[in-house]
Amino acid sequence: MTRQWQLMRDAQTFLEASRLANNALKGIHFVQVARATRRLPSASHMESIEGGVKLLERVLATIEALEKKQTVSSDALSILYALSQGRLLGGTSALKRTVANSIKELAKFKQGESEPIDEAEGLLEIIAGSTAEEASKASAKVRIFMTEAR
Amino acid sequence: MLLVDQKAEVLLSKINFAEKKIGAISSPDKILGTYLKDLADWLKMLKDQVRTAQNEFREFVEETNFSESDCLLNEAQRGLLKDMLRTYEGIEESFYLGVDTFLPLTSVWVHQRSDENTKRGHRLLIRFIQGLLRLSKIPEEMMTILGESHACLPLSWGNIMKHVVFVTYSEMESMRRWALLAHEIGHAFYDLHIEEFNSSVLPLVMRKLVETRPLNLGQRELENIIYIWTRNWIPELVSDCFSVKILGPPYAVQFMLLALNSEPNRTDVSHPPVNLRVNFMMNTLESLALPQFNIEFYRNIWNSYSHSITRPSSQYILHEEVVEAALSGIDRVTHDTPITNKWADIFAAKQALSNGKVPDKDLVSIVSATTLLDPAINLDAIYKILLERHTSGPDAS
Repeated sequence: MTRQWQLMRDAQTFLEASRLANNALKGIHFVQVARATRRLPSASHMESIEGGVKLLERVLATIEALEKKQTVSSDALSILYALSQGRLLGGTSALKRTVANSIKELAKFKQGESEPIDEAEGLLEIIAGSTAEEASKASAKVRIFMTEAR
Repeated sequence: MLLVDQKAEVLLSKINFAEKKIGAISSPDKILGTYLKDLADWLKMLKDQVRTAQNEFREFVEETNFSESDCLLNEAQRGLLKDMLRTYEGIEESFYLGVDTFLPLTSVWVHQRSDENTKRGHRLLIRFIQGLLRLSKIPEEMMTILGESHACLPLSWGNIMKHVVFVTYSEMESMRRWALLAHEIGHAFYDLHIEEFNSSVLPLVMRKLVETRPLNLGQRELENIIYIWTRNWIPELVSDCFSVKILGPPYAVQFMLLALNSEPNRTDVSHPPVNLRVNFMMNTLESLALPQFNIEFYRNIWNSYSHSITRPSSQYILHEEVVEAALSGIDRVTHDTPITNKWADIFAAKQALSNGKVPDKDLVSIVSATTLLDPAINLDAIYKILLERHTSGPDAS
């Protein structure tokens, strides 16, 4: 009854969630820097933002799975857990609103609207940071069992 | 060279080292070969990630006029620098999980396959694991490592998922305990079917947890319990269900022995209470209706211990509607029951072994049958015969 499988899967899933959120943030920041100097943002940065939208859509579906039939995803479950570890954005309905607003903000941002995207940026920052932190915690435990195994 | 560029170089040199080590393994065996190919492909992807990060950093430096002697003042630029650093952190962590955990195991594997003290026993274990994989139709070759405990190490190399099975060194000759390895392979089964569990079982359990939520339970506690169920308990119960459906009574009997403790209803973050697990196994076995197997005999044995020392749990996490949703969902997705065909072989092997003969049956059947023999019977002679039978010829694995 050892935990190796769980810890490794935890570390891998948290890390992937962090990577996706961080990629989206990179996309946002590159686009902001480009727009500030009146240059056209590159397509790859736009794709990174789209990756963030898809991630948030999976989080939204997983929150909605609490009430109606929806498929959940492993990265979204990890995100919701990481958010609950001290940085929860209110209850489920408040979080759902934040995620939904963030998706809308990102869609407008991609279309070139100059409205602020504080909510989306803030949410992605919390997701990227908190999942990276959880990945490190799980990874530290993996190190212990790998040392023993060898 | 900027500090971030140096970090990229360090990562590239680690990837190059791993590639060199893989290349240096001359004529790897068939099993190891499947890992090395996938790992080599993933290392290329990881190298691409580092190069992309390098290019992004160059783009960042050009666009922001970043210099190591000045702090950035613009909010978006500061954010971007943080994202860049986090990218490298992520790549480093990925490298650790995908390479540093695995690469040293290749030497252990090669050593255990060639060392006089381990090679034949190790080979027999590999045969057993291969038998279980065939029986459960899991299309994967699995390395088996003699280590400090039974375990399953999942490796995520891009879209490829591989597993390494660990076997407790002190139990490498204890064939009765080998039945427990089915649980470790069950984790690979879970990974293979994760989408089905994510779409049908997990949402059901989550909804039940919300419906039965006590008024005084805070949001954070609810999230914790959802996480425990969905990320830890369900995969463990899937592995149990899988094990019972491929090996039947031999797994359940060995599990009872392993799990026997003074607190069968104790809830643990990582594993469901053993009482719940054993009862789930007994119910699954009952539904299989295997001939000449007296389920009540084993149920009574377990209950004589657990009912004597515990009372039914009233904890919210073990609410009967939640448990029911989880177990019925798991049973539905884990639908194949290879044991229904295998049981006749295991039972026949048990009869023959009881009469002092090692039958001409496959390894999985004979090893499984040993778990049903009188525990007082010494299995050393049977082990020797199986070693002779399965490890004397040329090694094709």
